[in-house]
Amino acid sequence: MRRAFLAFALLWAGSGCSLYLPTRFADRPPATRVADDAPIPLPQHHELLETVRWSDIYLRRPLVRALDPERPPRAGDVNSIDEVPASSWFQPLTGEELSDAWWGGGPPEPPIEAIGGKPDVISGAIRVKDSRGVIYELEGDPAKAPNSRTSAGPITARLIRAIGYRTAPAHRIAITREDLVDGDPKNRVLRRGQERRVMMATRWPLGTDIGVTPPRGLRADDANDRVPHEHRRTLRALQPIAAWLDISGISAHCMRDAYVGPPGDGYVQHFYVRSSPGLGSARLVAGQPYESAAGVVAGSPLVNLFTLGLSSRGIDSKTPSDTRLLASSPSVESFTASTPYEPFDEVRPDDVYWALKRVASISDESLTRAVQAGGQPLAEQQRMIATLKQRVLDLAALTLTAVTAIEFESIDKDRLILQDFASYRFGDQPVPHDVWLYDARGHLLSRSLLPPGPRAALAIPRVIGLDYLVVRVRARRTPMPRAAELHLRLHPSPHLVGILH
Amino acid sequence: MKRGRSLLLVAWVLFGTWFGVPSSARGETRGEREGSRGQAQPPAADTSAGPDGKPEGATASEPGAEVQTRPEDVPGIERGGREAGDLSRELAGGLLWLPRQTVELLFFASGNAAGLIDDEQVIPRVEDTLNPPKGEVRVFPTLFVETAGPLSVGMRMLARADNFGSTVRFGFGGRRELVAESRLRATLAEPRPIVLGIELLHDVRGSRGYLGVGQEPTSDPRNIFRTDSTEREGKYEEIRERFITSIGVRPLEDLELLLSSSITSRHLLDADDAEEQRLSRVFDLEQLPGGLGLRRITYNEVGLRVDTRKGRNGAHPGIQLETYLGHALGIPPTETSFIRSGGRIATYFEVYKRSNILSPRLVLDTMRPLDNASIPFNELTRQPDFRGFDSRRDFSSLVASLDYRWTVMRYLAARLFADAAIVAPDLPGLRHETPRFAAGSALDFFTRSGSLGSVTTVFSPEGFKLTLSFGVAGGFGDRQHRD
Repeated sequence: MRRAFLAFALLWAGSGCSLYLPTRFADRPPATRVADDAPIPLPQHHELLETVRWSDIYLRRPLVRALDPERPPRAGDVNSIDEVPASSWFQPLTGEELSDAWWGGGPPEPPIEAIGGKPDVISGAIRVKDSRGVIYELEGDPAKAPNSRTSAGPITARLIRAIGYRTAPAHRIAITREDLVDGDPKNRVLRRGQERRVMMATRWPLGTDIGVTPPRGLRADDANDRVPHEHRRTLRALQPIAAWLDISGISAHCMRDAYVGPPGDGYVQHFYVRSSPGLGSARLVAGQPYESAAGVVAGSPLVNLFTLGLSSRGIDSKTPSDTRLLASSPSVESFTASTPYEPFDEVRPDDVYWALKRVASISDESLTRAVQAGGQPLAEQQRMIATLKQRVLDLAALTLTAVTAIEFESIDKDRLILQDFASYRFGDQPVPHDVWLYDARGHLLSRSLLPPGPRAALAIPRVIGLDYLVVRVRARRTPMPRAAELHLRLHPSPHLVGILH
Repeated sequence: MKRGRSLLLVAWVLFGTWFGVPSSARGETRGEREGSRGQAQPPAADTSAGPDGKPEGATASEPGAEVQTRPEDVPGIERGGREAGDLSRELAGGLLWLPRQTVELLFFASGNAAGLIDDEQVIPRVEDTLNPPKGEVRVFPTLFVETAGPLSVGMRMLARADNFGSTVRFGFGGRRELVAESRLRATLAEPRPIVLGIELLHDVRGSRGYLGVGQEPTSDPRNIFRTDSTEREGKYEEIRERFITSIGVRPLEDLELLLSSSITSRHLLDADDAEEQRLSRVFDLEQLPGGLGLRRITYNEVGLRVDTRKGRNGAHPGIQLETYLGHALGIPPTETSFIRSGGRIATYFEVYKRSNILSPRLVLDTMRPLDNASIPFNELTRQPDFRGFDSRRDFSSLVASLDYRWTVMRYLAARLFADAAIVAPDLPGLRHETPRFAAGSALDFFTRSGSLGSVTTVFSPEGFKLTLSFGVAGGFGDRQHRD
């Protein structure tokens, strides 16, 4: 009896493992805007407490991940057609609106006064107030890598804004003593004897700063915050975006929250704030001494350990041979963030694909204007633009190994028109696609093959009693990517209700 | 009539409540609130005319229509799907739920406040008080392992709100090794940084050792060993309760003034399971100052510290000078009265590179009885700064140390150190004793902003010691927190 029960249980488990049950979408239009701007009281300031954060990301996180065999859930801020609607987290802009967001009130207007206090955005930055009373954080270039951070910051901030993230506006500026109140007698901005300095000015806060965006969970005192942050595509997708822009130092400190509006009548907006380590600029000073809680870090760890720190390496480290932005960057595929960031643990192929689509949506004009903000010579701008475009192609190639990049175009009578995104957007060689049709319960109705092409049409079956149709499509690529699904309601006439990638 | 009046009352209360709560509590969005002046919007998903003028009720396949939705309705999913293999993953996930939740509970954490964790009175510098993390209640694990000592595991809970911070700590190292401690601190940044603290401690230490007084206890004539004992180390159990109040102010950037008072109750018992090593079997308790039993002592101390270093982790050059004066008085029937005084001087200077710090240090502690009072043996000055075996006690102590510390990489530093320690009945006597030596190495682990843990190995003629600590401060702190 016991053996029979065991055999039954094993059989049930075995058969159950392969059960496919399609998602069922509601028959309503996809959300295009999230109503997460209801007035709330001013939330508490939240900073990451480093000691416990480190025990969290290096002890709790790997333990919990090892004990959780389930797949990361689909992102919670994604609508039924696999897009991220506009919200306090994401606000796609184009044209003049995008230019205005980039400008963001412009660079500080003289006279500028150093006001002291701990910077919120960039550690080691100088907080200043301009003649309008607007606060900025100023950051200079490392001595051995001129035009690195001050150039990369404005470009990175603009490109991330062009993708759709709210960003702290950043500008590359040149400051002279005449621009500073009383000529900066205490030399807080300019060093002694220095008359001019190129710096990056990041405007922050944009509202009332309420600290770092918690990397996981919710902000408990924000009633509009309903999706755990590790389940947000906007945060998960920062990984492929960071790979594209080579932001090696991307971490929880890159996102900050600001309360916008008068106390009691405002709401929280979420900003990407730390843009200066972008375009590989953080790598240009790798090997240069820098401050950490453990002390000044210089040279190679192993050499340091075995020479008791007495090796001459690191004292006067040579700057990398090629100090141009993105010149020493690893490929998109081999990019890794220097510290773990909880939302990256949950990244799914559909999140990466969405990031690719957002990156690919940046127009050539926007890309060119963003790169111009770095103040580099024309030839260097052209090289950077070409490199960024090539990295988009690299990101696309990487994404296509995991996702079937099929897009819905339209329904023409009883024909479903589909686009091969890679072929359509990047001119890739089209590939054939396997197609399976399922009903709402996951029963296979038919199987067919879509011929290769940028666009393809599929006949929609009209069967009595069939109201919900799942079109499962998988590209014939090596390695085989996961299938995409298009969900259709057939009555009163066929229409799309959902997409899964 | 009565019923109608009641209904009216209920309706009025509900109406009043609805308008009394903030709009966020009512779940009203900005669009609804602003839109309500002109038109009402459906609560879940609404379809308004888009910029292209498309009519309401546009379907998913009709582009251009703006659809505003509550955050929880964004996915538009009626029923979640299941991929092949999901069921077995869910099954395995269910089986692992309990251990997973245990880990989550243990770590539901990330909160730290240096002053609450360090066993030392520290007043934050001005810039550290400007952006205090607050509103956090966190728990994280602690671990302390030392060779020849019990393994101690535990947890520390931290909470912080505005200018207040509190911590509760529990540690468990066996049936007769446990500690529970609670601390509350208030910090004011203006006009100068001030810290007020209250602490409560209860701990049980089941096997404490006592060799006797002096640098060489076995030959020191002040120690009266029982003639019928061959052992020279007595073991006793101590149950301790301690209450500390403190105030610290930083009048100048590098200067700290510390005032503190404590009441400590110690109940000393024979270690029953130590057999021949029981304190009563090794020493003549009649001749042992204080002997076993219950003692209560108050201790008040004033301290002054000048520390020019940028941080306290040993990575920055500078000078550290510290001096203190304290008075202890027994609470009847405990009869004792004595003064503690001493200080430390340490310099930290760079060697060859900014990442290498050499630091010589001298720590002097001394105590004197008042009115010819007797000082209980377990109140005698010990040597917590000596990283070998801290087993000597006397009226005066001198510990000299030389540390060489270098940064290996971000989050990791290494140390080599050597210590020499002497105890004597008085200050001049320190010159006549032969010091004990210990040397060793350590790896210190750091977070972005502070210490995380360390592994220390120490070699001395008395033996080898390996210490691993995680989530707790290494070493000992000021006099109030010692022993």
